Amino acid sequence: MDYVLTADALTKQYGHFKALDKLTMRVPKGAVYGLVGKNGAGKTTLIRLVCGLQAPSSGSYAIYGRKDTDRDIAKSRRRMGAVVETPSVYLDLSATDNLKEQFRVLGLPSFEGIPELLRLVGLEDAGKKKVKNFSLGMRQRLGIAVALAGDPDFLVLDEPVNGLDPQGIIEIRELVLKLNRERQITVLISSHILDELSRLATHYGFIDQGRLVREISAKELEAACRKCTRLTVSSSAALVPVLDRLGLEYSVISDTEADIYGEINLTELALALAEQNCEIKSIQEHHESLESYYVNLIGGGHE
Amino acid sequence: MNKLLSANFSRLIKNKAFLVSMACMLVFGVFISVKSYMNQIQYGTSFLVDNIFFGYAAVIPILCAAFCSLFTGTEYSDGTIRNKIIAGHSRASVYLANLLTCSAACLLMGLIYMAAVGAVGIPLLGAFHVDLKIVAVFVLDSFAMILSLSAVFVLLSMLNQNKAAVVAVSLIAVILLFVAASYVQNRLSAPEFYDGYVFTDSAGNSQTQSIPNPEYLRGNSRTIHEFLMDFLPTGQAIQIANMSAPRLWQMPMYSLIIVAGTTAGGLLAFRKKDLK
Repeated sequence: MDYVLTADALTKQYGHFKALDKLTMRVPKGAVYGLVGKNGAGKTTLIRLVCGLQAPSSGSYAIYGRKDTDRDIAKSRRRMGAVVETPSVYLDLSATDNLKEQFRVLGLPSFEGIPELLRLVGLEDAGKKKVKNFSLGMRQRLGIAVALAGDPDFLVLDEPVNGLDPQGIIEIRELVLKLNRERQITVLISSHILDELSRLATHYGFIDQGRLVREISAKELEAACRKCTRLTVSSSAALVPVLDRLGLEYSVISDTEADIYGEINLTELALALAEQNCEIKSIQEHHESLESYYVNLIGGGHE
Repeated sequence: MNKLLSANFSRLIKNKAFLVSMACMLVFGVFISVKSYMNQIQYGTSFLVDNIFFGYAAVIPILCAAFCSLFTGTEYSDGTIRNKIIAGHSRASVYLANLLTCSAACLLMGLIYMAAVGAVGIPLLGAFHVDLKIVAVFVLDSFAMILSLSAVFVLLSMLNQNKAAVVAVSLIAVILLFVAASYVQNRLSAPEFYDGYVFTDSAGNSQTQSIPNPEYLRGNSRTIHEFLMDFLPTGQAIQIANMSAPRLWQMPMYSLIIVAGTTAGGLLAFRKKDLK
């Protein structure tokens, strides 16, 4: 498999604090790689290192096969774009002028691509407006447009939906999916909004205390997540002996709710509950979410 | 680095701090020329263009501190310095491009003042009374001083990621440098002798006798103070503004040493700096 980014025993230490602790990861080409972890887990530090904003204390990483110590690493960096923490845009310039600035930084010969970039991020009507008057969502989209100015193959987004309203979150999600599917851009995206990440990512890296606890593809995650049926009844106390008698695996959620794992015979269950005068209020199929997978994983310690 | 310079200069021509500074220097140049001419008419005394042509040297350190910290600090406050690094530019290129842009901007501020005095002051007050070669050397000295100030304030700005803090530190630094230069100038300008009065005859006629001034600096102490006056950019600023510099050729040498030292140190420190 081709990897856009690899990291081997990557460590970053600030004084006595290890922000990254021998982190090893692989970002496959064409993936939307979701970096999952709580605040302070090391997501932003990893991204800063990959972007060349900081140097590793030990270990190494490679972008498109070039190691960070390689003199030509800048050539690999030219193939990437990034939005680290906040959008990197001049507040006192317009959207168009910001893109012109980035085009100049990249040494692009003409500004022909600017209208298309603004259209791509949905800012075609805001090109002349100063960025200081933009909403957070607009700034975020302009930040992505700036990151896309060099036509990168690899896009790094650090918490891109932080602080956005629901509409803004949807717009960023659709933009990322569009870039990945239509332009084949590999995306490394960090977030602690797991539900949002689960709608985007093809691969996940779970990071905790500076270490990559697990790396898994979305397909593997789906297979690992267990299906369950959430049953709402008139009394969980009546439900429990029935489930025990039928030999079903379950967990009680509340006085009236329980999750039952594995396949169940609904008729048999309904009849058995009727005998106990226990009424079924509702039945819903549930999948274990990315969130519960994450909680189980981080709670389970390091690999 | 050409790409970075192109981006920086494009931003410069739209930068409010730069445009306001340029406007201030232009207005200052015109105002001081007209004011000198009016004083000449009002008081009937001769005001020379020589006295005002380098007046900007006393103001430019403050403008330079404010401009360099605002222009470079924006790269950190808006986060755009990241775009340059991620785009594959070396740290040295980013640093040097900012230094060159700030230096050019501050030189332009000085030039616009001189152009204003040249365009308005010379027709009103007449041509220079000193040799034009001396004027040219002072121009050279003032440009070297601007370069040294830019190098110092770009160093401060590139190594501190907090824009507000760097603006405050730069302005405080320039004020402290002015205070230090004024103190040194006062010490150096103390007269070597006092005039003492001694009665020598019975008719009460007095005779003047000079008494050595204990405040007058001599020997190594004087050499050190002279060095400080020539070395400190603000000391140079005071001398250039008054167009009275006894060691005209030393000052640009010291400025070049400051530029080389701060730039070398700045490049080394910036190369290892963790950027956010």
